[in-house]
Amino acid sequence: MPIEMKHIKKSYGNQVVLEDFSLTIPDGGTVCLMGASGAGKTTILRILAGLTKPDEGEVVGVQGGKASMVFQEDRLLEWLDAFANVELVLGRISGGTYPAGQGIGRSAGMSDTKKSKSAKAALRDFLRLEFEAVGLCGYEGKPVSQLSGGMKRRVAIVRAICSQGGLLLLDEPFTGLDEVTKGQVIRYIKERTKGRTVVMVTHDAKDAAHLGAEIIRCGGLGNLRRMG
Amino acid sequence: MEKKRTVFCRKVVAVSVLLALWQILSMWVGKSIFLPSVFDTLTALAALAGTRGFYLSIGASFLRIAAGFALAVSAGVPFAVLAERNAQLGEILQMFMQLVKSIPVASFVILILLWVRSSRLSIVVSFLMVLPVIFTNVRGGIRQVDIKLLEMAEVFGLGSLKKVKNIYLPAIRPAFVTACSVGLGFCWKSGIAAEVIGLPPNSVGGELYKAKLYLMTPELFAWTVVIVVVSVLFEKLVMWGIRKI
Repeated sequence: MPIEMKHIKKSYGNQVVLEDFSLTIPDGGTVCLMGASGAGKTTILRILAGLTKPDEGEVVGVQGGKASMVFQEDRLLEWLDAFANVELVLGRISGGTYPAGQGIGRSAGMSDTKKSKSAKAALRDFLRLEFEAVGLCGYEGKPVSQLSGGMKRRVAIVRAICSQGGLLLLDEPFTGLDEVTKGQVIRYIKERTKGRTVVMVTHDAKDAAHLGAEIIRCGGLGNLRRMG
Repeated sequence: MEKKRTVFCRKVVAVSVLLALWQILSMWVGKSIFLPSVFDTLTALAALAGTRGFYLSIGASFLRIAAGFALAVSAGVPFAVLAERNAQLGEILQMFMQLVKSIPVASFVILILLWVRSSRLSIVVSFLMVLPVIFTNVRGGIRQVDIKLLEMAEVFGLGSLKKVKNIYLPAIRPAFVTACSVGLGFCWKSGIAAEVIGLPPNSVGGELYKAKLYLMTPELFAWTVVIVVVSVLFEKLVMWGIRKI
């Protein structure tokens, strides 16, 4: 089911950010929002995430109202390690294995059964592979406060990828990553989000191209231009 | 390791200097009734320590004041949470705490004596003195919680327990530790003051009053030393407990 934003209006005080804004995001598609600062890109993501209520209009099609997100800031719990930050958003887990390439929540089937030791070990094994895929092998057990900016960014990306939300929102996800790491992370996102609806905000058209995303130019106040 | 030793040495030097100053001052005054010497005080303390009543008084006062402190923590934390959840209730609680903070201990003591037995007076007074400290600090701590982390929790659908454990508690902890440290000092000062006025049986405050009444200044100093030592030990114990949580 596609996600539809219909005739959205949003203002902050006297400043109108979105006016009669409508957008259809195809189910399982990857869409990239681009535009000048202040064009309302982050507001669109916040509305999709359910964090900001539009003044007018509605959003339909977000399954169970669930999304996962990489925010502009990392928003990690600095006092926990990288493992714990990701585990936190996974909910209760059942036994079984977690092959790489599958979001745990979606593919392995969360249940309300109590965490068992083997399930926890399997989860850790799975997460180790996820961290390895973004070049964080060996850093999983380190407190986030001891990681560099780029490492924290990758932990935030792994957290969003592994969480249960059907809709994945990425707000400038590659901030602070060097070109080599960025390429690695783009491959990781592309591989792990097959069949999942992704909306990304970026200022770099190359990022969108690498992800094979449809580019949507936001000109502010509902002025949209769909690019190929 | 080296640092710990340095800090310990500094503390030993500080205590020695203060004791020396006390001794010099008492020698200069020359009359034990006005300012007993360190030796007089230690002699009085040793004599007191040989009696059963000494330990009974310390034990009973400790239990009463500790109970007042525990009650204040048990009430102050939920009150702070409620105040943040409901603005109107928050206003009422804030005003009540402001009122409690402004009323002198003596006024409380006289009023409370009309309601409760003197043996329970120090519990109520310690409770009332510590409650606003815990309430104000914990409420401040709740307000310090990072809104951005709460948004993250909302997006990822974290349950209430996870939010409390992983976001609220770490944010409130520093304010709670400060509140406990300040509150522990308050509860001993106010609790003993209440005992001096209420004169419950088996109490450090009652012993202080007797020492004052019969002009037994070395005993007065000895009891004061006991209060300082017990309150410091109590603070260390509570802080150790908090660190373990």
